[in-house]
Amino acid sequence: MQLVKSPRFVQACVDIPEILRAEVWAALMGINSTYRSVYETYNKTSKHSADRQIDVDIPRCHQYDRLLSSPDGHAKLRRLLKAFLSANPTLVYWQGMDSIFASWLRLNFNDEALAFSCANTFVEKYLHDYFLPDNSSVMQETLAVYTHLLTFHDPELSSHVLEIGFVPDLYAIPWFLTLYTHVCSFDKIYQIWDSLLVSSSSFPLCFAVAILQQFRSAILSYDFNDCILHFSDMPALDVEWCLATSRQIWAQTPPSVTSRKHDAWEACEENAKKQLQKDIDSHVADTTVEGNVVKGLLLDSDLEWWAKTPPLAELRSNRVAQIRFDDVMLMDQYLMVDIRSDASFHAIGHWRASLHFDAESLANMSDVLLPFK
Amino acid sequence: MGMNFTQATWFCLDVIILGNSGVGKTSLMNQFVNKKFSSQYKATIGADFLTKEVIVDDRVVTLQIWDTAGQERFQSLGVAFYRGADCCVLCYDVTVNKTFEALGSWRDEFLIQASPRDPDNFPFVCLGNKVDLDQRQVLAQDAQEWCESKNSISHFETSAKEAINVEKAFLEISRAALRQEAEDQAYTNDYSDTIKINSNQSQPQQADSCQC
Repeated sequence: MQLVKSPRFVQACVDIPEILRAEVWAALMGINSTYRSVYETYNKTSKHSADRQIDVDIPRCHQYDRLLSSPDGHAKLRRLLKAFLSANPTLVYWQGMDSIFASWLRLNFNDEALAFSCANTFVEKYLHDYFLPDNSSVMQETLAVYTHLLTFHDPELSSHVLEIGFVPDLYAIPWFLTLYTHVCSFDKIYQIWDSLLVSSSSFPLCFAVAILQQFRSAILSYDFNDCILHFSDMPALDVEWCLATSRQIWAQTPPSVTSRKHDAWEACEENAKKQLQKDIDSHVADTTVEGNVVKGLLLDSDLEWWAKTPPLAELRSNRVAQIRFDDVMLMDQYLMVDIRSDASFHAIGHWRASLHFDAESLANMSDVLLPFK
Repeated sequence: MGMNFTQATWFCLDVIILGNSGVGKTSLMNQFVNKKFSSQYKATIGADFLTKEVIVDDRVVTLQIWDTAGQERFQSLGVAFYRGADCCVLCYDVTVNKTFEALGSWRDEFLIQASPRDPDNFPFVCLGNKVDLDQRQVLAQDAQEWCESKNSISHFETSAKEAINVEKAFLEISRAALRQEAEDQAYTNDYSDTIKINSNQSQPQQADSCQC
């Protein structure tokens, strides 16, 4: 994206001073000068089926904060949410959305229109499709991918939580649906979002892995009840540590591990590819041959089975991510172990830098493998 | 595998609390478990979980209480914990008629999702919360009638804020859950060749772990 290259973005990666946060974040969201007139066009007053739910939720939303608990704060938040529903007729109000908008409102309390524009863009960018009336496939995909990410970075922890039945459906839904705004106070939210806004939409998943890792030794000794009680309220996070850890996780994760269908950036890319393919189609006769040699131009439907993102059912049943071949070529810091039969290894072919032994002897190979850890 | 039903058995009973947003599900659970009330609970998203040990008829049981999101939408995001529930608590707010009218659909939805073995006799307990407030909309008599029409659901009027009837209601909830769990186990045992119910010669039970 264009924004990625701007000097503003690079500076924001280093640090965002608190007094400049509202302006910097608005710039990161790419808000242009017409935002006030755009906000005026949205209906914020007429009756809506979500009104009752919104009215029940606002008096419970970040009320420790003096701005948000003020009558003015309640009125502003209500208008923001109603404007969002008017601007996005295909989306609906989900509990927790109030906390996302409250975070933007707290930051731009005297510029309601700017709070709206930022929140609206933010939802589109980081919470694509999450607020559809039925978001179950979106959420299930996110939870499956998060499980893969945890397995990729911490297989021991991942095995333990799955064994005791501490599945993310029971604790991580508010994390991902509200991007931590429902489970943290404003000071922590802003700290987390400083990093989120200069990362991709998979950053929240990395942060969730970091949270589990902060309590790693406790979780490993816990059974199901202990774990679920521990995370029933968000435990005291070491936000600095979790952020450093999640940035590391984010940088070390092959893109195919976290790739999701319901991802705004993926969707943009896919559309751009389709357009490019169309352009080529109209100019080149033999497009299949031509198309396949240009890197980054492949449509999902043209890909071989091993290069495609698996369907949702498969994503959910797999504990381990399927890593695409183009990622494998870039993973030089990893050791690849091939556990197929001798015959397959030699006859079908193999990755040149891989170690080969059969699955049965894998357990005995810990001496060989440990130094690579 | 089933298990012997003995005095020594330590039961884990799963209780699910359902009802519209803002009726006080989280408050009721916290008043019962922690003896505390706060007017600043935040909305529950997904599900929350608390446990408490209680003594029911000389028997120690652990209640595992699932507090749920009040927005019905969240049901589509998975209600895995509905299955295996031993009792379902239906909550409404006595000052908001709509929350009472919604009880029927909460009950139906629960029976669909949890699909208990014997839906007609699955134990529900109905709580009308916020009796400490003045603006009552739901009459106790109307609620009572509705409960009777649904195969005699127990009904309590409570205040999580003033701790009115909360203890009493949860004792009934625990009893109902225990009965349900015992019936489920008897059923399992009936259909298992290897396990015989014998109340005199009990198998040694691990006292420090829950039989879930």
